Amino acid sequence: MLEFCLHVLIMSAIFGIAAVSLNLQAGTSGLLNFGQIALFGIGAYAVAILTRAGLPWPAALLAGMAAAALGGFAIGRLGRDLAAEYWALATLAVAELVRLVALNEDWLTGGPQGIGGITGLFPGLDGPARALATLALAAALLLATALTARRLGETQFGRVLRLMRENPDLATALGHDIVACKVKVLAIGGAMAGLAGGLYTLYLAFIGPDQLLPFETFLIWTMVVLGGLGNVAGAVVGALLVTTLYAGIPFLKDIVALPSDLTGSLRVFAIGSIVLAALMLKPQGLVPERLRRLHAQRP
Amino acid sequence: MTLSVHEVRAGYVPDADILNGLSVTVEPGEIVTILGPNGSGKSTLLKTVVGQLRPRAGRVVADGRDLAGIPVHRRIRDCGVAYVPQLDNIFGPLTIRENLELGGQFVEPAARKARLEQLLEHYPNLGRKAGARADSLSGGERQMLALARALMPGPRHLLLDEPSAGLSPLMMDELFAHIRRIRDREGVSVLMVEQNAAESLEVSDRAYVLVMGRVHREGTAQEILEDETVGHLYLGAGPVH
Repeated sequence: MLEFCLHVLIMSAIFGIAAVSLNLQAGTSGLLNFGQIALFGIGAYAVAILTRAGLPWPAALLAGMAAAALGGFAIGRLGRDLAAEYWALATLAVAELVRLVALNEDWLTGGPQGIGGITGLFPGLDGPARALATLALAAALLLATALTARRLGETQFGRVLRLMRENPDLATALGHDIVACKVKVLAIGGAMAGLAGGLYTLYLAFIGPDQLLPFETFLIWTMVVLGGLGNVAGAVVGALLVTTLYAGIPFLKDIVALPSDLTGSLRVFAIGSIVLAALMLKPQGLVPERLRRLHAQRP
Repeated sequence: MTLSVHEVRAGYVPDADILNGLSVTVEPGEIVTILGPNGSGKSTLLKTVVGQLRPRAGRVVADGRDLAGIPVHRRIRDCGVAYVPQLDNIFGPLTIRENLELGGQFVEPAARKARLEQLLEHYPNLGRKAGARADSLSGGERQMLALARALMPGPRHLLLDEPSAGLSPLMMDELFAHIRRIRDREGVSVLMVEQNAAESLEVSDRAYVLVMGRVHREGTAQEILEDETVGHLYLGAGPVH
C-alpha cells in the first residue's frame, strides 16, 4: 500500500509539472495546445536516448528540456499565422506526427517496443527508499516549476500573456509582438513538459509510443480544467486528483464485481465524466484563477 | 509628420478588394474623419494603416517612411502610430493606472512615470479613480481611458475606430470635444472613422466620404457638412446641419 501511495504521489508530481506547463500555455496565455503530449514525449525520448548513450541523468534531463523547448519554439513558429482554432488543430496533428515518428523510427526510438532498460533514478537505492528519493526529487522539481510559472505570471511578461489571452488585437495595438510572446511561452512550456517527460522516463525506466497517445494530452487537459484554468495551484491540485482517480480505478474490480478488461474503458469514461462535470458545475475549476493579483479597489 | 495612404487596394479574401485604390492624407495636427455607409471600407482603411491588413497594392507612408513590411507592433512602437479599436479597447481586470502603464510599456521608465502622472492630471475623472478596475468605468470613461492609453507613448498619428460607438449624445459631445483638445495639446494628427457624421465633422478639419472602397467626396469638414448629396446618401436620412 505504501508503495502504491508513493507511486501515485510520484506520478502526480510528474503530471503536475506537465499540467503546470499546459496551464502556462492555455490558462495564462490562451493557447489551446492539444499537442502537449508531443512536448512531453520529446523530453521523454530525449532522456531515454541520451541516458542509454551513457549521459548522466541530470544532463540528459536538461537536454530533454532543451529539446522539448525547441519543439515548443517550432510549434509556435510554424503556426504563427494560423487563427487560434486552426492552430489548436495543428498542435493535435503535430502530436500525432511525433507519436508516428516514435512508432516507426526503430533505429532511434525502438519502434513499437519503445526504449526500455534505462538506468533509472537513484540506482543505489532499493524499494521504498528509492521511491521516497524519487518523490522528493519530483516534488522539488514540481515546486520549482510551479514557482517559476507563478513568478512568470506576475511579471510584465505574464501580464502581456494574459492580455494576449483576453484580447490579442488589443495586445497588438499596445505594441506587443504577440507572435514572439506565443513562441516564447511555448518554448518555456515545452521545457517544463520536457522535464515532466524526462522524469517519467527515468522513473519508469521505459518510454514507448503508447505513452504519447492523444488521450494523454486530454488527461493533462482534464487536470488543468478540473483544477482551474489559469491558476498554477489549480493545475497541481487537478494533477493530484486525476492521477489518484486514474490509478485507483483498477481497484474497483476488487470492490464491485467488475471484469478486468473493463478497467481501461472505465478510466476513459471517468476522465470524460470529470471534464463534463467540471465544465457544467464548476467551469472555473476547483481553484479558480484570481484575475487580479495586483491590489485594485472599486471606487 | 504626414500620414498618407496612396492608391491602396486591400481586402480580407483573395480577389475581393474592400479598398479599391484608396488615397487619404492626414497633415500634421489635422483631424480627418472618414465617413461612409456600412461596408465602404472605413475600418478596413484603419486596419491597413495600422498593419493588421496587408495591402495588395499601394503604399502607407508615415512621416516619409514607407510602412510596407513593418508589423503592427513595430508601427506602434517605432513609427508614432497609435490605434484605438472600436470595442474591447481596455483591459477590464486591471486598474486605470495599470492600463495606462501597459500603454507606455515601451517608454523609458522615468518618462513613463512622468507621462502617466501628466495624463492623470489631464483626465481628472480617471485620476480620481486611478486605483479602480477599468471594468468599473462607464462607457464614456472607458473611451477616455482607451484614448489616454493610446497617448502614453506620445504618438504622432492617432487612429480612432468609431470612438463614439455606444455613447449617449451627451458623452459623445464630450468625447469629440476631448479629441479636439488632444489634438491641440499634443499636436497629434487624428484619423477617425465615424458613424455619427454631424458630431464628428464639427470637430474635424477635413473629411473623406468613402463608397465601395473609393473616395466619393473629400473636402473640409464644413464643405462635407453642407453637401446635401452627401447628407442624403451617406450621412443619414436628411441633409446634415
